[in-house]
Amino acid sequence: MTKLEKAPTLQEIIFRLQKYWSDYGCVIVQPYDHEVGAGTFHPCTFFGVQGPDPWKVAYVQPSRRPTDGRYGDNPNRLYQHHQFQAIIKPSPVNAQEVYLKSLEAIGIDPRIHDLRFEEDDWESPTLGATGLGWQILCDGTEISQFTYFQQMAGFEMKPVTLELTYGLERIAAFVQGKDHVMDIEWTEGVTYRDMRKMFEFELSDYSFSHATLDRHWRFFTQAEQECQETLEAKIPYAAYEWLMNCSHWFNVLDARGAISVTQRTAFIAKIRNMALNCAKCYRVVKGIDKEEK
Amino acid sequence: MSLPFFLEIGTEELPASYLPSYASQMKEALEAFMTSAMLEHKEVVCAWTPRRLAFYCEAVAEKQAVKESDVKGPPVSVSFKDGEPTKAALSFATKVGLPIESVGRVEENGKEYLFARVKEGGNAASDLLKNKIPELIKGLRSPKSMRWDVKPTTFARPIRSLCCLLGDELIDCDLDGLKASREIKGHRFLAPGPFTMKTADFAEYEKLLKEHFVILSFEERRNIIKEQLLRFGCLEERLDEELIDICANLTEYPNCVKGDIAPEYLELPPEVLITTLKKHQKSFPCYDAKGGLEAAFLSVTNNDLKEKDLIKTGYERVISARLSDARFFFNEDKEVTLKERRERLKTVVFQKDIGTYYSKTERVACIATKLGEMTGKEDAAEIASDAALISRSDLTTAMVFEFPELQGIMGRIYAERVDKVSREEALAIEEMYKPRSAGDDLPETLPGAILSIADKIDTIIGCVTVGLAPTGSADPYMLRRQTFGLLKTIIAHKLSFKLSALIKIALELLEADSESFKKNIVSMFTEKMGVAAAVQENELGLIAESWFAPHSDEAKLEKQISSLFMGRFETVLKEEGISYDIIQAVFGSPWPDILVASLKAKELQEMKKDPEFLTLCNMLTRCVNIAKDEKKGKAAETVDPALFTAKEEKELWSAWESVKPEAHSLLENCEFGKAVKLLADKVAGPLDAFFTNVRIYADDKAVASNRLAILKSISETIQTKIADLSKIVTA
Repeated sequence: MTKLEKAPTLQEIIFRLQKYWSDYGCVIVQPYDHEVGAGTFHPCTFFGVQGPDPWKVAYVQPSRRPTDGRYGDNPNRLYQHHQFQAIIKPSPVNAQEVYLKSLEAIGIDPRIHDLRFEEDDWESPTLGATGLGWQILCDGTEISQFTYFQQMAGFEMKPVTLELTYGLERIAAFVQGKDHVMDIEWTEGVTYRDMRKMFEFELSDYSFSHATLDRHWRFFTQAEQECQETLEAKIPYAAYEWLMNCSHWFNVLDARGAISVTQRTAFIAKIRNMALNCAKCYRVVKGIDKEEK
Repeated sequence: MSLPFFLEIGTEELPASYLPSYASQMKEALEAFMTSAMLEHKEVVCAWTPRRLAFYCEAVAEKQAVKESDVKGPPVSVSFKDGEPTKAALSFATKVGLPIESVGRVEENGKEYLFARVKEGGNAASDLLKNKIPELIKGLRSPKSMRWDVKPTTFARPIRSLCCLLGDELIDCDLDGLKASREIKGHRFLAPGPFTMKTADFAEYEKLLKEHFVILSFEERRNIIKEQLLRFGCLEERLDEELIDICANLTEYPNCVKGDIAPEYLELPPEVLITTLKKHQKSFPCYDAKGGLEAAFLSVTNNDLKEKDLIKTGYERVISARLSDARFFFNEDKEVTLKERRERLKTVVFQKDIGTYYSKTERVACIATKLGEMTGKEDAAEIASDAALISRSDLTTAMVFEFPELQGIMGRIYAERVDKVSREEALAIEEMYKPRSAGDDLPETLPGAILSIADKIDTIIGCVTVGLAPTGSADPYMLRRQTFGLLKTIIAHKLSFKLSALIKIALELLEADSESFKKNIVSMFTEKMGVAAAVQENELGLIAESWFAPHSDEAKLEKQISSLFMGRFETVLKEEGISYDIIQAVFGSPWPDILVASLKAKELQEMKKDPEFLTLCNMLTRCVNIAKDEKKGKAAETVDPALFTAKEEKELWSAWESVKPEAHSLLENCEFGKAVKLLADKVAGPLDAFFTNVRIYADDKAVASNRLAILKSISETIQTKIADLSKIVTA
């Protein structure tokens, strides 16, 4: 950031990223209206990466991690944070340069900062997904994940999709020089605290103290059945929504410490299984693969 | 004529740990190829940064060497039919690359054959390299690799450029559509370039890179980092060389920035501060002249630091957040004592077939007490036993969750600060894990040693019992290392006891636990089931079932345990300079007590230098062998002096009778040297005379068995109390 320019607000950062990726040729889509643990769950990524056709989208996705809830007190951990995702298939030859230019767009000049690409192998056991790439560090702070997807829902990525994930709160705190996420300027005169503190407190309180275990176990089991039956109707988008529910309810149970080590493995396997089936169904409906006899 | 060869593989940032291996693999592959392709060449040198692997050979032959060879074909008699060449003849012609008319003939043993003189080689090096280099690059191996874009190539990260030169000539190789060029990229931000390589000149390459803010040599980057770290406040003796290596492989233009830490963070235990800096931020702690921690850190950047303050502020902010997290964990952790935390271990599984950490701590406490009784170190064992109960509680702390490598260290800190136990008890918790790695220190205190032995024997026996004995390549619980550490600790602390007794105690405790563990787990699941009505019963049943692998049968178990201990004990002895034959001699007689066996080995090793001892060895070995061989005659139960006929046997018996009590008492006290000396002084002479002058297998069977009985008596002492001396190499 040049010293004269005022640091962008959180919403300004989002505008600039949307503009930048729109200019690059991405379709700007909206956040998905379901609870998710990460932007990768958005159907535009989960389904979009499947098959050979080029695909470029970008969006903001609020992501919930009940175990990271800290009642809005912790300077950098949140129950719900916001990710900006850019998905580009196939990954471009100048992937790194394109990403770095986007940083300049939001006021980070890589020449005067210590900007680093440090090895980070990404894996989502629940989605049956793996990727290789880096965490991007700016003066020691992680501001993005840069991933070349190798596998999604068990399918090899051909061609390879590039996923760029910006941690919006981290970036805003970094460019604005704030020590606490709640002090981030959302827009002029409005802080993150004004907008999010009460939500963070209540949802943390709910996850750690009020979420009823027996109902959540039941929600999970019922949603799993619903997912399976919906798949039989060959409507993968509808089935996939139940997977997102399962994943979230699993996270709630986990935050309550209700899941033992062996159970965890079993539940992750269940969700992965749903993910594989959803992707398989999607590929058949889309005509990417032939139906198995 | 020969030419210099240069290759740069330009990549996106490669994982630091892959770089040296990639470089050496490619260097070897290039050399092997040049040799096999008959291209005379000098050594290939390599260098690397995170974004490039570079190779250079001062001189490669411009053309392959030419090799001529004679090739014999089929007999002429089968080569033509009705004047036309046959299939056999034509395929020979194809093979040697000549038209059939030009193929010659040669006579051998009166028979005529087709013949050709073939020339091989002579191809241009540039053509050969052009075709081969992409293949060599694809042959490089790394722990993980990936694909990118629409390419079939796999590598650790995308390859984005190739520059390959032979002299002035560009070798235009093609890696799945990526064409070689003369372009070289500089530092990603400070001087991206690219610049052009006119000729294969490595010195020029290195110089141009430097102008573009890239330091090619790993060693040079390393030295820059080290020099700056020392200049800015690291202590030479505390430099983390491994972390310096990592930083040198993460940067092309390293420069250290020094930042401040709020002084209040110095109240954190030093281990916490240091681990936070190193593990989370790859940064180095600073020390004052007296060796105390300073409220500052050093981070290695990949920047020229024109805007030093900006970068410094960024690092300070992130490190301060990390330390604030650490302090939060530390303060939270301090709210609950280790003793209280112990309850939580009931749900923390040590190994799925063995049980929880809770039951492990109970067993270990019990073993420690018993070990104290066996060795007469009851006081130390009491401390160890108390420490054992809280030794694993730190597993439930936030700090150990965040930094698993602080396990044991946090145990010691919390035991002292929160549970307020004695210094000795707290220290024992940390020492329990020692030695943590091959070169690490052993436990220094006696309670620490006892606890460490107790914990290790429980782990070793427990794991072997459930089928986790180390195999050739797999040793997931590092039982070999644990056994090695256990044996070294026993010897270092001079603990004398019967190892088999300790193993037996461990086994009994594990067995008793395995039943109660099964019950506990089942009840744990049943409780959950009450809460979770939705989860079906049969599923829980399955989980509880699979928890129990069938135990290995006992004979196999015993064999696995003894081979594990014998193997490691051999390594321990070798490390102490004991030669192979002495080790075999020691293993040849019973070695129930590790300390005794190791003392014996050391003394025998010392005695082996004495030629007299070697003569005695031979003689005693002969004595043992004769006593052992029952084919020619059996020894009498007892020696009857009335049956003596020769003066030598009488003398031998009285000599042996007179030294035997003393020899035994010396051996009981582990005075092997003195005992052997006694035998050499008092028994060797009579024994020699006996062997020389007495016919052992006398015609009178009673006399013969009486003589054998004398030898048997001596032999028993040697075999059971000293060693199998026949194994000692005396020549």
